[in-house]
Amino acid sequence: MTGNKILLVDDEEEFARTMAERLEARGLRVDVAFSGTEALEQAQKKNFDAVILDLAMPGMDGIATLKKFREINPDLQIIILTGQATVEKGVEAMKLGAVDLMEKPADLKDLLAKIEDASSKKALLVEKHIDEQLKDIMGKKGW
Amino acid sequence: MSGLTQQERYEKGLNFFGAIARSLSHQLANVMAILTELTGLLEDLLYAAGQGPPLDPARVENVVGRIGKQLERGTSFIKQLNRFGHSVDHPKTSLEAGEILERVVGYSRRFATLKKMTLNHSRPGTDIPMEGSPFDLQHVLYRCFDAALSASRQGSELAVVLEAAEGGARFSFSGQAAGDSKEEVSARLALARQLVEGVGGTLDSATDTGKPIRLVAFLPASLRLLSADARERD
Repeated sequence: MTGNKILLVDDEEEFARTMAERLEARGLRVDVAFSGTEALEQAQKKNFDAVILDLAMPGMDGIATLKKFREINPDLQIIILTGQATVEKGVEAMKLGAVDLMEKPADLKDLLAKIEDASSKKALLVEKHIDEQLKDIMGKKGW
Repeated sequence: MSGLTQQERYEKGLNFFGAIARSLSHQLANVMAILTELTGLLEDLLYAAGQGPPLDPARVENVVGRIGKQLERGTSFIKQLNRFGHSVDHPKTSLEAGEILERVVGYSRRFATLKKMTLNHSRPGTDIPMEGSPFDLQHVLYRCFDAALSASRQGSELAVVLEAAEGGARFSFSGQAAGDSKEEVSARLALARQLVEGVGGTLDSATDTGKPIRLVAFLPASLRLLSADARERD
């Protein structure tokens, strides 16, 4: 858990700041974005173990942001944390590749467990890609 | 005149009720989420103080201040929701146009924010008395806001000016084009017009792409009841 790098995306600035403060107190490294556009800019510059994403945001909403995230990095583990959790939105988000959906207010222990799961999945995917790349290189060299 | 059947008017009214209840309860859920985190943060600070370094009073004071702000914000949403729920209590009552406009601006603010827009409004210093259903008046104004927001460019400003007019009140919406698709704007505008006419008013509009948006709704001092209108016509 300690050291996992998280991107927290929420237009409710007070919520994002407070949640970030609490997650950081538990050893996570947290970057905050207050809009979908800002989040995508950060995701292009940095590598995150997991993203915590709100759905109802001004301008580019959570679903549109999720689609763009998947285009930038299909391995990105995205947890939806929203006050607008309808079944339809949840299904749509999961179909688009979100790994989990939580309703606000969320229990911090549950959220931490989901971040841990997401980060483990991300680590496995990274390992898998490295293996594939190594096999590819070795194949090309005839080893 | 209003061009909608009784069933359609009922459905549009219910749809409006749902949209406002959803929006206010969503904002309230956000406040509750923030309060949950802030009280959690206080617990974290207390826990940390128990482990070693003394509690920093300035830090605690800061968190308590932030809790106070969210409580104020939450109370405002609860009041709005409660007042909105009570607006269906009486089909005909004395109304004040400026007060109802303030309420609808309050409900519409989040829809504007989601489009990164700002809402500005002004009302005269003196009251504009009206009579009718508070729910109907809010519904009609909300649909005017909805049409104007739909026609407006994302990130722009929408201004609403209320003035007394002979025999009623005039609500003038002005903003910058262009917003949603022409079809979308037309559909929302048509609904606003049907409802304005349903309460006995008129709606003039100009929402051409590239030109400033202007919607002017005149509403009579004595509003026709949308449901009574339906009974008479259907």
